[in-house]
Amino acid sequence: MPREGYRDKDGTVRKSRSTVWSVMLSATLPTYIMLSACAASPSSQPSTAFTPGPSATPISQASTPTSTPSKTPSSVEAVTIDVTISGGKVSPSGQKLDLAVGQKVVLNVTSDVDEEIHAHALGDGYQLNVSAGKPATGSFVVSDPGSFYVEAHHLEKVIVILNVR
Amino acid sequence: MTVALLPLHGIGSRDDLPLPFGFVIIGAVLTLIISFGVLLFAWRRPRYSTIGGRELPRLTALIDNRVVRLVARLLILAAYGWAALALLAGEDLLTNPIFGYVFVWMWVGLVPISLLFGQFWRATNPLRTIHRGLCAVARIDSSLGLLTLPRRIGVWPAAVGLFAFGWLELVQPERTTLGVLRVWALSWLVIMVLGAIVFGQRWIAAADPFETYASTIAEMSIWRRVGGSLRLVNPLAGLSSWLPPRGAPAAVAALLGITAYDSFTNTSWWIRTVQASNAPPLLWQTVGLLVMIIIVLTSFSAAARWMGRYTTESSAAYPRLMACSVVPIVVGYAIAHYATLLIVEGQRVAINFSDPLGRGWNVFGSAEMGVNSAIFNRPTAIAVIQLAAIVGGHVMAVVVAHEKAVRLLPPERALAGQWPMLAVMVGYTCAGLLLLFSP
Repeated sequence: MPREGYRDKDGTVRKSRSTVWSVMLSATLPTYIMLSACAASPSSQPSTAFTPGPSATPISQASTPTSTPSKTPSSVEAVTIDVTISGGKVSPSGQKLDLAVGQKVVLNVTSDVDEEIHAHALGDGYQLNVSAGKPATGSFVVSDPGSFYVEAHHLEKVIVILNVR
Repeated sequence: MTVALLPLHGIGSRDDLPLPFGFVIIGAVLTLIISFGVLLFAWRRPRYSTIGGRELPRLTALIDNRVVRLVARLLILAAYGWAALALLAGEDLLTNPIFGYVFVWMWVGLVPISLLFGQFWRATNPLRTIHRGLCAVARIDSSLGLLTLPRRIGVWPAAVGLFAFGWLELVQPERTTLGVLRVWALSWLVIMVLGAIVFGQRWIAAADPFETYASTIAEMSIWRRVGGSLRLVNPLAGLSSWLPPRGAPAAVAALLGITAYDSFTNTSWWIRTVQASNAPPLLWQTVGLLVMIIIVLTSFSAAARWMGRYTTESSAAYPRLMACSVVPIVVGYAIAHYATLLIVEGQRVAINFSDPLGRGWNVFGSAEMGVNSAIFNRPTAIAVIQLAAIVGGHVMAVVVAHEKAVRLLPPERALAGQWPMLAVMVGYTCAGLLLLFSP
């Protein structure tokens, strides 16, 4: 079959079929290269980590026991999230955080109503109870990759979304 | 523990990571290159005017065998009956398999079932089995009813039903409680069966959202009935030869809109805005879902109608004629968003299916098994699957749209007529990629 166009039976000039496929193939070849490069060095997304860095004072554990991490905590510093619940609204509200597997998350919660903070990470999930007016602190370690929600249960509002890689 | 506002398909607490931005760029670039490639270099004359394919007389005989059909229908009916047992007499906990049965096995599972097995859903629809059974007892012809359903109604009732299910899946508060699901299930059963008694069995094809969804996806499978016998066909040829019923654009728009809305509610902007507002979340969510569906419907219809400028046929006919070309995009979106849900939560349903009443049974031997969620530990593999699904769906859609364009338009106008449709598809695909990136 000739390379460029050809005349078929009734004289119409047609592009050869090989042209279409060669266009598609030449499009996909660079993308295979790009794809393998992207897969090799996963996610160069801008970090939206919230107040990273070690806390100045050691975090005092709340009465709720910390879940034992199934992997040894990574050398990445713990992330502290300051949560404020007041007037039926939560802050932060729907913020996304990028975390690493094995990273510790510390929650400092202040609320004007009795609440339960649920984090859907770790198997059965993590729960921190907060009483009205009394700040509470708790922490957990994210041990599995995936995207998890941290929400205020009674208000039914999402606080943060943890993207763990 | 699931929260009504949580956009997590009602069940499952672990979601896919956002698509890496590099993948979004790759996907968008691929999409553009392929779309322009097809527009400029692809065939100018219809390529699939004859369906072709390979005839399968023995398989046809097997499938059309009355005993085989009856057994298949009864087995499927039994599965639904078992699920109904869980719904009516089971515990109101998330370990009740009915929630996963409806939201995962039925709603997501029908995509691979239809792609792999063709019109399996329509052949084994329990609603049809129930209606047939009632008609057999009453000694009436199941195809006849009290009234005749006008042809013009097409699948409009099913399109409304799809919106309703989307609302149930993503908006309905307390949707993972038995009380709410019972009302919905009963309504569905009654509306479908009563409608079939009034209008004949054609009502089910017109109004059952699941059957419409399944039979639409099945048009993309390799199995096709041509002149009564089954053939193995090229899916592109099969899809191009399908004449969608009236209302199909609305149904397809509902499907795409539901998945797009589901993804959109995962963005920080949406969560922040809805939670900061004093308007009830229910209002936001209902309006959001409707707006998404309307955006898809109007953009698609406008692009299709553009083709009418170049022919003597009325523009209004084109959305229906072109509805087949969006189906691969619907499938791509569904795979990208729900594949991990089906793989992981689908297992959980299979495990809990052995113990529908929560009494410690182990009827199918699966009650002690654990869910293998290893797929979640491979976020790169998930991202590649999502990218392949979205871009692959786009490629198929663009090829089918091009094929339809060269069939419906005069040859010198084929390019001018189809570029809006191509642009709209590029828009859907890039929007899909961006939504997966989930800012």
